[in-house]
Amino acid sequence: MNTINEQIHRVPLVLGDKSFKDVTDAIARPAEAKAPKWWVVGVLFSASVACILFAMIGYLIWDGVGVWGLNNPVGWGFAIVNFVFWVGIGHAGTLISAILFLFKQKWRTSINRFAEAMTIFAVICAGIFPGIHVGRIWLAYYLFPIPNSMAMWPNFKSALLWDVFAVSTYFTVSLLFWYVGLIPDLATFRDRAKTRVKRLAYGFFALGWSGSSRQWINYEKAYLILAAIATPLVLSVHSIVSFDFATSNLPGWHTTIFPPYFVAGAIFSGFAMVLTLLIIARKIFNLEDLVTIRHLENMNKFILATGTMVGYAYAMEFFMAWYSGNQYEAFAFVNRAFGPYAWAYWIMISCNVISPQFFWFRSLRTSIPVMFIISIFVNIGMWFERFVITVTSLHRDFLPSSWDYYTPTWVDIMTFVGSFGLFFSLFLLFLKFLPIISIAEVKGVMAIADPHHYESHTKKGGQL
Amino acid sequence: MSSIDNKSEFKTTLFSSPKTRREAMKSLSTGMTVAALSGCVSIRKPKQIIKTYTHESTTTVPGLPNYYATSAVINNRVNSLLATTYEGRPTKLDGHPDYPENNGRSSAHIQAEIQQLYDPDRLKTHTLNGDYANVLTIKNVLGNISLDDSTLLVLPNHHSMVIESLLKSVKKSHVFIVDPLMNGNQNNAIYHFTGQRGFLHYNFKKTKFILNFESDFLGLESENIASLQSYMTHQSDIMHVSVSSHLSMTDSKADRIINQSPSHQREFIKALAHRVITQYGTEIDKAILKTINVDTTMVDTNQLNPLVDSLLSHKSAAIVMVGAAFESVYHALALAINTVLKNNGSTVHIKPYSDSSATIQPFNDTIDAIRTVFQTNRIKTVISFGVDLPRFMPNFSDVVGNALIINVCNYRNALSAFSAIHIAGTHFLEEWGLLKSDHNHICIQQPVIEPLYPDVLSHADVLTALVGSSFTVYQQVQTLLKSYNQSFDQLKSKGFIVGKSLASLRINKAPIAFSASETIRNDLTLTVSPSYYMLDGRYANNAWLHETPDPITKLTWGNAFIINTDFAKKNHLVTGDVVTIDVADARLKGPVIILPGQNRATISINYGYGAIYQTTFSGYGISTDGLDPYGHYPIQSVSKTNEHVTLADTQMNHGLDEESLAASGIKDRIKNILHIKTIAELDHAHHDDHHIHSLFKEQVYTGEHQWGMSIDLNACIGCHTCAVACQAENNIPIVGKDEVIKGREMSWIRIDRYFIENDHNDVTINYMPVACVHCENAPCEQVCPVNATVHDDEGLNVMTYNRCIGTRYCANNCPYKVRRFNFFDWHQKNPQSVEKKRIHLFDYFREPSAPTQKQFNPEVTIRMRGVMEKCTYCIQRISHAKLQKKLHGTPIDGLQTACQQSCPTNAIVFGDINQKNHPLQAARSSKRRYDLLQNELNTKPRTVYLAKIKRSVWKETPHEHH
Amino acid sequence: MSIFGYLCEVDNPKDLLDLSKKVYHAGYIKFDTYTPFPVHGIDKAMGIPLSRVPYLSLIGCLIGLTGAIALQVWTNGFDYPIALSGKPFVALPAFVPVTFELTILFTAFFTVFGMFAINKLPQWNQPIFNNESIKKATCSGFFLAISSDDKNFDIEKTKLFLERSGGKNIEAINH
Repeated sequence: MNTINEQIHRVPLVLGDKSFKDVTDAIARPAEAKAPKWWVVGVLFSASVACILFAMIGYLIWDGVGVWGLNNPVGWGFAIVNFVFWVGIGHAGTLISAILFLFKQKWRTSINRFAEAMTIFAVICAGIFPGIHVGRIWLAYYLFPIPNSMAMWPNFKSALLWDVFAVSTYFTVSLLFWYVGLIPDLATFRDRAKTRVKRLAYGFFALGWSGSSRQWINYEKAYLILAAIATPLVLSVHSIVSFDFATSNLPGWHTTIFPPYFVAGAIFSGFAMVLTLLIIARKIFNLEDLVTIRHLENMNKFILATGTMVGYAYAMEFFMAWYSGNQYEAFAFVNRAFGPYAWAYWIMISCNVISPQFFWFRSLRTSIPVMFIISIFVNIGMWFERFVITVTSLHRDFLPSSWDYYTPTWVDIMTFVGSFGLFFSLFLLFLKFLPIISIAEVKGVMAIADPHHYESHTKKGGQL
Repeated sequence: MSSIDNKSEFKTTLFSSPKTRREAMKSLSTGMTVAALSGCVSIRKPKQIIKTYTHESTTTVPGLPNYYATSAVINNRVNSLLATTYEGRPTKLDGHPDYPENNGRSSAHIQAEIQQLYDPDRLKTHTLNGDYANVLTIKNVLGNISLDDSTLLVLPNHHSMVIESLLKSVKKSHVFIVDPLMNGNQNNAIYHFTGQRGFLHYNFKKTKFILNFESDFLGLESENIASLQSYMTHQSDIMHVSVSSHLSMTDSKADRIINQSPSHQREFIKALAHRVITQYGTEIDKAILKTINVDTTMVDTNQLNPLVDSLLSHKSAAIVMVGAAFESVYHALALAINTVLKNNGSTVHIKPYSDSSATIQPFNDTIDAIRTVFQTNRIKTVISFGVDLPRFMPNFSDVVGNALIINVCNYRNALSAFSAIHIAGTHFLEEWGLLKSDHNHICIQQPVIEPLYPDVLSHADVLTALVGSSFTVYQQVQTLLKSYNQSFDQLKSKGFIVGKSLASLRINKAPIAFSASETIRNDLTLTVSPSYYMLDGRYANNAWLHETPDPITKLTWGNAFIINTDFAKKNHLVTGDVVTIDVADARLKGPVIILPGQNRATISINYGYGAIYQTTFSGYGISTDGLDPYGHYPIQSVSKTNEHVTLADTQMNHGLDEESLAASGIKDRIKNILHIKTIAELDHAHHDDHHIHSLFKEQVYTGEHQWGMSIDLNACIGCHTCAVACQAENNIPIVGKDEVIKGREMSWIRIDRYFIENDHNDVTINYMPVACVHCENAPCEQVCPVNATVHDDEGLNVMTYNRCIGTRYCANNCPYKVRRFNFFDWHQKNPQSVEKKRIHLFDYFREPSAPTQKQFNPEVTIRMRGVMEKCTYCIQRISHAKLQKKLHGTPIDGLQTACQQSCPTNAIVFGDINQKNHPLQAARSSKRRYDLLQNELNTKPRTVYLAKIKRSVWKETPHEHH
Repeated sequence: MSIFGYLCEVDNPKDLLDLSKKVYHAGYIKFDTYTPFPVHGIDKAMGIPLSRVPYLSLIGCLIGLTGAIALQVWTNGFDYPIALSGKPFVALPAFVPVTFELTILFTAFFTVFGMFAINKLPQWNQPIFNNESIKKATCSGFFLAISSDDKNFDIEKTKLFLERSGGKNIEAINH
């Protein structure tokens, strides 16, 4: 992506003639200024929506899983769909950070913090669902290998257990990665803090970071290693999530294409969500100079590429269903496209396969309104992809006698809506209280950060 | 009022009538004598001893069941039963293993009777003008009723010998037996031929060909359970053709179903009679034809000719049967055909009713007679023994005038509005009695539990008080037995005395003339037949039976109008649309269900729904009160309303629309699922060993026993007895109508129903019971993250309920979809549950009512919500058998699962697949054996299926017959 | 010694590199530089050896790998083997995902907490923070500090040396 290219060379990563202090000021401003009205309203609104989530969870635990629309053939519904949806979204952050870091894609610096935060919050939302979807939540600790009076251990052959390990590892490593990245910036905030409370709070989490070069050396090494292990981790997590389906024997689930297909889908949806949020945030915070059209265009290229991969996977599933000659498999896919859930299937196809194709055109992929709309479509489409995979495969499997239709209840829907409340609550808090762009890293890619810059005083501004 | 004692060290276990299991345990440990004394301070109850079933130990050991023989009239047939009791609580009922009319097998109703006993909605006390009345008051009132012709007694059946003897003192009053389930038209036809009331007994051993016009002789109209077994034993020799307008359980066993409307069937029967009788009958036989006119335009000779051929080539080895809804003349014609073809006396036997004291008239005639009695006599008192007269007599209030009505009943019913006195009745498990079956067997009815409510009175108790007899029913039973040369104690242990079969009635005269039969040309006929599970509505408060899916429609909690696919298309109806249907005397309103196999010109409805009782579970479905339980009605009009309801079916009726995607999906795979084969195909099938290799070395199960099961699809009639038995045995909750609609029914064994449609008019109905098949390579196990479902070394796929956290992954991965998830605490959600008295932190707020709690099988865990459950092959029984073997060396052969034990057609065989000579071996090595989904998934199921045999009745090429 | 050391500021990364080289070549060892971002080449200029963090990561990696395999093989294969779906008790292919995840997890823990340990974090109270001006180091300032613990440190000479080498705003850091 970032090859030697005239086009790219001409567009600097940080626009405007900025000094280090300008960058710091720009990024720290939201955290230091008085909370704007829209933020207060936004937080109150999303917190109330988040309360719906907790109310729904309370009701669920009080009354039983039956408050959802699940039934006998369809044992997994909204909860698992939402889980996969949120985990998928949670992929972009670490992917952008880690993979782009390893490939020394310097353009990542202005979006990585943002994306990582989104990862953390999305994984928090994701983690709630498998937690609450079990019938006896109070016994969910059986999932962990804790010595107990039954002398039993969890079953390490179960894909669901792999999932527990994958998601919790992913969350932990993403959190560490994010936090390690945050430490120098927290120190910056600490040092700029005007109030004692802020100084103590930021100071506590900054761990006493002083910007010492002897620490920077270890810090950079650790960050590099984290990036190096997070990259296969990102790829593994959604592969393992896909194993939940792929290692079962259900027609429509049992396919070997799932791991790459899920990973592509995750990146696809993750980038779309980052894009949606970023378009809003850069506008609100006047970060157009730091998050440039070029950043957005690069992301759109990712969306185009992964969206096309996902489309290829859909086609390949159909091809294999026909080519395998297995009547159950064939029916599962025909049923997807033309059965009772065809509406969901065609929403998925139009959002995921058709809508990203507009990004072939440069004018469209650099148009903010177009990319905003498409990013929303992709978010919707990817939710439906998980719905299609989960529900349409379950509702008609081997024996027609047990076929049935699944309809979500209001609790299902409000729980899903509530999860957005939680996500946006956390996100708004992040926007207000934490550096939304990595200050240290942005400075590091500015031209004036390069010691060689001072040998030939010809150029200003950062460049690749 | 009687106290029951068991001759054992725990004499008074039953005496104190523990209300809950916990109470029972408590009283056992704290000394029964005290409890016994406190239980009877006021009334000293006479000692009445019951005896355990002979083959079992006679001592009560806490935690071990005792078995008692008792008996009951169920579906108006006498069944000797074996009750399983734990510490004095009966928990399960099964057929008596030695009783010749059921051979230990049962019906869904027998299985569900235990629910009737513990139903918390039962009336507990008597009322007089709405106020509480104690037993003495009631007995006083009864004693003062003058037994002259101003008194009318209405009884539900004729089988009780105690009542029969008591009725001898009620000669002057009017006594009627109202039996809506009786095949009255057949009864009438027999009466016309022989002058006696009776019923038909079929000898399937000699039968080679059956031509059946809608007689549900394997279902509602079966003679008894033994007759089903007899049919199954000889099934391979019997060619069975069903002419039918709507499918029945019986049709599932037919080799060919000819779809005809009731009107066409009438002409068909007449044409058949003409053909056979004119050619082969004597002059006497021909007399019957005089009044019979056939509309030949309605008879398809291409269908008639081969049937006549078959009948003629199976002389004295064929049966022509006619369904209960056909008028007497058609039964008479069938009898005449059977007589002419010498089937009568060989395959068909006319048996007289064993009880001659009461006139056993058909239901309709009885209702008419009661009407007449009211018109011609000044009836002052009506005593109804559980017969809900207003349901059968639409303008009852006009008929009854201001007579005093005494309603002996277990629930408030339609008669309650008219009755001044309610007498709370007993359940048969609480009463003494002596029953005589239609085949003259005498069965003891001994109470296996002290009445749950001290006031309740049995029918015999009420009659005793009425006639002023000073003997208790207990004493009367003993007196009656004296003439049978049988010790009372022996009978109590054994349960029944085999009676001498009554001689068959002979036909040696022309029947009393029937009025001329007009050709009926209904454009559209409504056929009514009793619901398989509600029967005439008597089980309307039985939640188990409400939730048992109808074998044909798969509907639970209600009925619907069954309509034909083409009819639906023509009238723009879809399943669930509400219509109103007008017949001569009634307007019915309810939803339709489209079913294959339904005749174009016929709409069918099940009788026995609507608000029968004023109780929790009654009130579901379309009421057909006022119509005959068995009947054909010309439909005047059908009109669609704007309403639409969702039907609570357990199996979506996808196969209806030929073009629908689902239909194609089903059609494709039905071949794989059912494996229906012709005999030739089986014989010539090369042994196709599908060796599917796993990528890993598979487990070898090394336990001493290796459990397995076989299910014979040729024998399964879809009666769901196994499902109800499983429910009773394994404490399976009901979920209610709304949850069935959501698809959350809990039954561990479901009876899949598949239609195979060649076209709308050529449909077969096939059943396949599916419970957990205990795969050796069980897909459910590997996916459980917490090891809650695992394999044991005997090849069982076992559930560890207290380990389960409810991810439902196992259910998703089960290709047979036999796992059931507790989405809620169903016992709390049950509308009959009660508020808990004591609440502590982790308690929920409701619990099953006190009587319901007593019904639970203590051997099986009650599953809490959030837990997955499924068939365990009755692991509690396996453990018990293994323990008995270890302790006493009892062979394990007798071990049966609950479904197997109850199956009326012996379709299910369970056992150790390592055991030589076990019947299971024959099944496993049968040519018909196949393993469901084995070729697709290599699951290696331990339950194997025996495929249904497909036979062609005749070649389709029509040939002229002269 | 009454002071902790000297702190001086320079204008830009290049000056910091130059100053660091001079300090290093003058034989100072206990000195450090403070920058808002890692300055390219500073390790060479200051003579800082390679980071030891990767060794810790490797240890974490090995512990995670062997621990995960041991846990799964022991629990599912030996401590409480359960027959599931007819599969072998020890099914190594099925153990791969959890092994992979735990390897990553332990590597991450050892990397991050190892880095903290080597960097002596958290250390909320450091002498360097006693100077108000060091706060600029997390924003736009480039600083160098020489500790009084260094064997070459001399209150007068070191200050003079810093002034001559281009250090600005030289301040003494108090304890």
